Amino acid sequence: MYIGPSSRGSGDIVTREQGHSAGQETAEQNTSESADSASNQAYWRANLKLGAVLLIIWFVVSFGFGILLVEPLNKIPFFGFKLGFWWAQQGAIYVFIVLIFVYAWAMKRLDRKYDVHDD
Amino acid sequence: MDVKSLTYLFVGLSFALYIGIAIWSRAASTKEFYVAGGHVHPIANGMATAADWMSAASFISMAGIIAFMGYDGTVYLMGWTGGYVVLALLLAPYLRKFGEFTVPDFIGSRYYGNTARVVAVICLIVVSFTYVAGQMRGVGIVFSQFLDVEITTGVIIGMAVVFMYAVLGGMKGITYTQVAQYCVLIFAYLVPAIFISMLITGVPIPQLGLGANALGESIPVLEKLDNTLIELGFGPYTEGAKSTIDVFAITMALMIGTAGLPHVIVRFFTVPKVSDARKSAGYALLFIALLYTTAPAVGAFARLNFIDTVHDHAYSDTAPWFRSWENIGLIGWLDKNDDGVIQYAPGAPFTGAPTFGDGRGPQGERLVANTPTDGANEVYVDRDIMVLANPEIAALPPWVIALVAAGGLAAALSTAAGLLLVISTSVSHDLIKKTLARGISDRQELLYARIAAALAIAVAGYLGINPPGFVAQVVAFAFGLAAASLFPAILMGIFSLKMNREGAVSGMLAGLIFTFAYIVYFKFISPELNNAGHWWFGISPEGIGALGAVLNFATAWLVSRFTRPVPADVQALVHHIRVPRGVETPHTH
Repeated sequence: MYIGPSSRGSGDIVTREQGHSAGQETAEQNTSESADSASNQAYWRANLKLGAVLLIIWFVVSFGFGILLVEPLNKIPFFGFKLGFWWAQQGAIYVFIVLIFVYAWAMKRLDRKYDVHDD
Repeated sequence: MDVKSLTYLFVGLSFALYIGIAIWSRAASTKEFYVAGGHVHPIANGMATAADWMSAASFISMAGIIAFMGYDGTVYLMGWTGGYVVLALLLAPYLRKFGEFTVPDFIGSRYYGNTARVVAVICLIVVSFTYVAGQMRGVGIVFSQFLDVEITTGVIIGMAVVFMYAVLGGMKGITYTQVAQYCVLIFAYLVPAIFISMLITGVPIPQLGLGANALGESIPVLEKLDNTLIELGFGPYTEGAKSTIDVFAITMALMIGTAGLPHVIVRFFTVPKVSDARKSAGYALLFIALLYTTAPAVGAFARLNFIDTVHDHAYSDTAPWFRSWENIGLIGWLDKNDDGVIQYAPGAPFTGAPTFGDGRGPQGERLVANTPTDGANEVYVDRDIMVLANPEIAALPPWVIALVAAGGLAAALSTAAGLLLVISTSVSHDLIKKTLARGISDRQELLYARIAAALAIAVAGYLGINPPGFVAQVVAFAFGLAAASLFPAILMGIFSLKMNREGAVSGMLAGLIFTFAYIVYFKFISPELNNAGHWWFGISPEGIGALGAVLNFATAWLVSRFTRPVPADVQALVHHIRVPRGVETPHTH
């Protein structure tokens, strides 16, 4: 298992890099088996993909609709608002909330699929 | 009961509640003091985060700023909410898995050494003190305007209350008082907002009222506001005056600055599991959005109300609120054309904030001593009063006004406490325990944490009573510096296995120094050059943190390519924090 950051001093890292003691060798091999396994790598890639998709949406609704495209969108009326203005001062915030809950839900599924869940 | 006795009652009751919680939740160990034992429910943490995050600026100033900036106020609305998406997706779950006490803890462990840790502590202290001075000032202002006590007395009462629950309870005390403070502040914000929305549009939900027709008219409120402003010579409310690149940069700097603010990040160290950290960020943003989606409605209604009740009215006919805020000095009227009628128009009425001479003018107004400008505008109005004066402008019942005072205090105190806690823990844990006096016991460390918290409160109180003239101007510092220094270092620490100590430290320093220098140059050394013609790429000092972050990433990447690779056990740490399983509550040591 991973040893925990607090058990390590900063000074002994260089020496450990060059000459491992037997005990540390085992600790690191265990770590690479559990934390760096192929399954965990696949989990990480799936996580990155999900995060990228959600962050693209985050960018499009805020910087896209709310800032870069605000002028053309403002020509469209939307329930008493100009659409660009609505995205900037209301819509983007609603989407942000949804994005975080979708992320929490989808990650929980990924955690179970790759058997790394925390409960 | 009159407004003042009601205000004393509401503020007194809320303070009694906070102190009661402080006594009930005393911290017995460093683990409780630093991270509330790591057992906070995600919804409770969401509320605490919301109160921690929403400061006097969010509660008192933001709607007023939006009222006068219109579309340009968007930078605050999106910037201060969008950061939670970044925090939830990129930082919070991994830092929770890392499972230590402070942000410098993570940076010190991930970048193996005390250089990185100390640089992180410096960034943290600069960011947090900048922020906390403004909170104590907010406490003083609310006290002096609603309770008729001196600002100094107000700040000292505020310090005493924060002292009770921050020094006794640490994170545990702060967490549960923040939950109570969230309830107080959101109630205090929504009640007047609903009243005003009803008054102007007849729709009780402000978010919908903003899109509704003005009462008794056939055009939407926003269109009416646009027309009114254009008629008076202003630009339309729904279109901005800032350049697109500046709006982009400021929004980005505020978003990643939010995600890099230590007092927000540590809140996610208090939940039991990684999955809780993700969920909790969602709840936090939900609770924050209740206020943040209401604020633009409050802003627009307040502007409309203000123009309706002030412009083209004789001074002798003005409502009592106009004169009471004039007496406090946050409104000033200079009858330039001697017609006894108030004219409101674009531009400043006179140079600077009003300084009043002795005696009264012909209409009974306070005499303004400032040099008048050539413009037609006769009214000076401090933006901060829009939220505080709103209940009076809209003639709401006295208990609503008392509620707003209690809410403003809750917002300022909850943020101040959160900031003071990260300052004191970074001193007791990162500087004393991990750097200067290794091997002290848990009890000693707890004592140091309490002493550091008490000292930090004293410094914050001093800054609140004797505010450096530039408090308002340095708010840009806090976000810009967090965005340019801490955020990139934490992000690369999680997402890159190759980022080493040399790269991260030089990146943090490059981002910090560049951003610091740019803001100091334009705000203090050459304020006369502070305009788009002189800014780099048209980016104002408020938005320069975004560029500082880019510089941080670039420097870090370049330096890391030519320096020693990351040790194997640190790579193992990165692999460890990337999976949720095996999360521990922080161990005492």
